[in-house]
Amino acid sequence: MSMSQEEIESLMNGLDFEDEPASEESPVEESVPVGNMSEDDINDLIAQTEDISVNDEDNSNSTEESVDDLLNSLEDIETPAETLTEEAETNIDDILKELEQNDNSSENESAPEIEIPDDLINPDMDLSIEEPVVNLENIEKSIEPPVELTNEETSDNDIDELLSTIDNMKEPESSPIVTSAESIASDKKTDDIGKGWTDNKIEKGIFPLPVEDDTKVVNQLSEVANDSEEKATKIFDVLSNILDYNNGIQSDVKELASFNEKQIAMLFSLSQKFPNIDVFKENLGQAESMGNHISGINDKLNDGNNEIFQAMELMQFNDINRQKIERVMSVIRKLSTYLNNLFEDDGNRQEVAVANHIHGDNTDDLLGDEDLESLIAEFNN
Amino acid sequence: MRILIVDDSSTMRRIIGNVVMQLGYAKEDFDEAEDGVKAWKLLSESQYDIILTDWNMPNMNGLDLVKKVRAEGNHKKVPIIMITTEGGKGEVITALKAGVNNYIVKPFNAQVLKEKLDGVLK
Repeated sequence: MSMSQEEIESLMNGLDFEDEPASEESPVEESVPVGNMSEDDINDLIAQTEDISVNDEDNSNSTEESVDDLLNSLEDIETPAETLTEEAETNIDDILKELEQNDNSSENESAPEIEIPDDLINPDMDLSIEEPVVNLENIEKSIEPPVELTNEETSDNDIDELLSTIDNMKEPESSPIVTSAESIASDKKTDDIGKGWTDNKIEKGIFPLPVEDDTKVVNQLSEVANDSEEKATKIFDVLSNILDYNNGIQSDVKELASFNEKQIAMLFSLSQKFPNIDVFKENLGQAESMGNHISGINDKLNDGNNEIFQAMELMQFNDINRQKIERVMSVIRKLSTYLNNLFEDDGNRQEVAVANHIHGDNTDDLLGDEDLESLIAEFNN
Repeated sequence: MRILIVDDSSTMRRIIGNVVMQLGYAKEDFDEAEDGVKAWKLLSESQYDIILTDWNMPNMNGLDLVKKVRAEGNHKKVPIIMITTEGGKGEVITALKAGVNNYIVKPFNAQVLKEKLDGVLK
């Protein structure tokens, strides 16, 4: 895994990377405040659960009150029934009184205007009178039991429902918060320990790097090939620039050489015309040596260019190596496909639990016969 | 003279171009393509006097390009030099059968390319 410049700088500043662990956190942990839970957080959570339970108690009180209200309402419903019976009885009394009055009037007055019905004189008249009572009882029965039943049922149902809702309110809110907080804290600790242990092993080279896009062998090789190509292009640019500089120098040197040749020609003619003047001869000698220097510079530039051309030719090996890498990548791809086919499981067989410690293993926690016996003896005691 | 250089490696294209320039050609004398498909596009757009192509390339490899050039288009008689890392006898025969005029195995130097160029251009 390659590190970016920012990560390297932050490492140099002594900072830890917290991006990756945060991104790898489970969704359960995301609902909880980030980081380890402090004592205050836990206390707040507990306080919240207590508030919830207090609210639940209030709710239960309200349910009790509602039950009382229901009972009162039942009593209120029962009283009209009684009043109805009383009213019915008063009506009967009134009728009896009227009958008596009628009897008296019939005895006293034989007026044909008022005819007393036979059913009133009939001994079964009581039954006819009692009928309303019976009906009233039926009414009472028809009224009271349903009302009482509904009251009882609703109250029981309400209580059950309320209790169940209270239970439901307590279950998801109070206990899970505490348990989730504890479990998250413990999970985090174990995760940290496990991650630290794994990182240590990876750093020591005992464990291979985890399988990710940039740690897969083919991807790494491809990245190496591409990086190599990119850097080779840059090196080629540098060599080309040096060639261009050399060409510029060579053109300047060419001008210098032409100027110097003119100087030599002029000094030669002067020294021929004025042989007694030594300055012309001395300057001619210096110009000729300067011409040698210029030709030397040109030769060195040509040698340098040849070296650059050779370097450019040698850069063909970058392409050759890239193709070698691609050949390795091809082999790995084929090998991967072959191994996948080789180790592929049909999935028809049920996986059997495997033994952790088998006789012959060289693990530290493998129990010997003596240790086994001593352990058994110890536990028997 | 117009030269077409076909290679998927930009470094190789520059190396070949550099060698071609060493031989006295100007930068305007040659074009570059990174695979057979782009080379075929350039061939259909302009006329070239010689083609220098690699073998192993994405999309369309050099051998397929040679076969296509020899089979269709207006470059059937244009000389082709294959410059590749494939140095096996079988590969060389395959390339020659496909219509390649000359064959250079990487790595090569300017002198070898000059000789081969001279040979095919005669």
